[in-house]
Amino acid sequence: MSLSTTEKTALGAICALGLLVLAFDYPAGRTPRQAEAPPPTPYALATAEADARAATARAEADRARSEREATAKAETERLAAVQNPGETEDILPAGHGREEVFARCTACHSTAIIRRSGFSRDRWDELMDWMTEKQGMAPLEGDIRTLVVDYLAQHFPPRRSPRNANPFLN
Amino acid sequence: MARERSLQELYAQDPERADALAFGRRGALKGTALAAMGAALGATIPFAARMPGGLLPAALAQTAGGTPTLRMDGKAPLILLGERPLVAETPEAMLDDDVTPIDKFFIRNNGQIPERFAADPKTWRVKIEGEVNTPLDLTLGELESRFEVVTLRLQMECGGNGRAAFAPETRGNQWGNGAISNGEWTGVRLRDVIRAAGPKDTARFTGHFGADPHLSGDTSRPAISRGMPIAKAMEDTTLIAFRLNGQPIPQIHGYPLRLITPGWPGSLSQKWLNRIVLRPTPHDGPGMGGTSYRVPVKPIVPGSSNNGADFVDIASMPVRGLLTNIAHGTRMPAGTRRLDLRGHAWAGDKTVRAVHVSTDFGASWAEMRVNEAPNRHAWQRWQGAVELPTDGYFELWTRATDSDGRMQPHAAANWNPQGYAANAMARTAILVG
Ligand code: HEC
Repeated sequence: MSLSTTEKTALGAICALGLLVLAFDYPAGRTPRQAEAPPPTPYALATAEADARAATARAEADRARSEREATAKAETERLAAVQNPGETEDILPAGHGREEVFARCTACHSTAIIRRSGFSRDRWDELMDWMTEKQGMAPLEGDIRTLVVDYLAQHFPPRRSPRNANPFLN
Repeated sequence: MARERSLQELYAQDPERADALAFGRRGALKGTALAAMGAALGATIPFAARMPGGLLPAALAQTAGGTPTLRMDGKAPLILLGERPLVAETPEAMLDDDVTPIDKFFIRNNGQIPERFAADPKTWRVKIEGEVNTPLDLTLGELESRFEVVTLRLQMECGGNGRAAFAPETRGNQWGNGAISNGEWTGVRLRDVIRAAGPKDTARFTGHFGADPHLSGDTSRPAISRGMPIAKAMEDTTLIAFRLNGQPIPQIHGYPLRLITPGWPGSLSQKWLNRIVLRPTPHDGPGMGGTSYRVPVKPIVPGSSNNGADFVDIASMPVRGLLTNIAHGTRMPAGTRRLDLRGHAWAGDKTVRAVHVSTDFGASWAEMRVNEAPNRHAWQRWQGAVELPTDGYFELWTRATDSDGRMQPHAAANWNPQGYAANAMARTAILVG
């Protein structure tokens, strides 16, 4: 016997309907007054189980997502705090030009990068161009450049070995 | 007492002059200067006569003033070199483990630390494009399922490790010898991924991109983007990694995906990796060209200005050894005569053939035992012992020799403006009694 696609679909639908009717009809076929609930059909059991599994998976995914988001937020905040030492101008040695240096030089990085450095005036001057050309600092020209570079050269000249305290002298 | 203070002050204020005074013209440490130095150290210097001219005792060579410490959950108290960008060095004596624990990993950022990827890490994407027949756009999950996953112990060292030894001082973070790690990295081989993309004959260099924003916050500007010759990318130890010591990579170390290019400057181990471009010519991103990660072929005058046009990119890092079981500045009980020593040594793409330790400023050397590396590009464990003749001030000089017979020099060689590839031998000052 060969059936057309439409006939197959129709047959399939009828079978499915029949099953559904059976499934829904089952309790109705019993005495309504009966106290004990009838045992669920294998079909109902399977459906319930699948639903429960899907719900658990959804809850698990939601939980994992909100946990990840909370972790990400906490981590981002924590690292933002580490990267922001809350410096004020007096972290730099007092002197003519300190205010301008602090104002212009802490938008991108903390002052540690400046304080760790020790260069001649020429090297400091070159570094201003590097910061502009390679790092996008607004160009520093004229009097303000002289002021900033003079301050840096005076307070952060070359040293011999800038790291570590002597372990035995203190 | 007066003399002690004056010597200290002299070193703090004018080390060059103090050096000249202490050593005199022929470079030998002399009578009163020697006595003064001993007084300043609070100890005699038994091998003073052998101290090379111009070399200060390690304990005196450094200016006064404490180094700040990193205070951060999940990290050991590393030496804080800067908050923004966040940069921190591991003290040498914290590097004793065979596999560097996560909390003891040094930190180097060039830009801001990006916001942590909040979605499922398996959905993080990385692109392989440029001179390939089939550009790839893969998730971390696909990387892990499509390619062989390997776990290796790999050194990762900053190109500027050892920089503080340069004289005159150079630009850059003033690292001692602690910008090194040897983690257990899990990932896939970059080689396998490049092969899957079908590299063309013109794929001769790589360029790497990550998600960290530039320090200025300007989103059109990568914080750093470096690249390497294809041969290094095709080595079987160059990984796209997603786990460190069995854990997801911590955020500050590149979560969830990074390159690991062991033995070459750490800047080639791009963090927060999201794109690799294959190119016919060397990459031109920030951190390439000029004096960046480049060293002179023809040595230049230390302290001179140079645009780096004739320099070459650093490939393999040079040989280096560390003493890890005795900290610089350790005070030991009077009568201590024998010291058991151990540490690690590595040599970029090469291996370490020998490690020697001197207690007398290099006049004599004791050979240590050096283990083989568990896999290529892992550091090697060394151990041994030395004898001390008396109480007093000593320096333990650790000198590694690579598989070509090249040794660490006494002083940082091949000075360059941004201070790369210095590998002067490590000096650990101790005081007995
Ligand atoms: C537009 C952003 C920006 C501004 C503004 C800026 N810098 Fe920088 N600077 C950078 C970046 C980016 C680096 C590289 C940081 C790194 O790689 O660790 C840098 C590095 C430095 C370094 C280290 C250079 C080296 O190689 O050792 C010094 C010193 C420095 N800056 C000083 C200054 C001074 C002084 C000013 C003010 C006149 C300034 N910066 C303003 C972005 C900036």
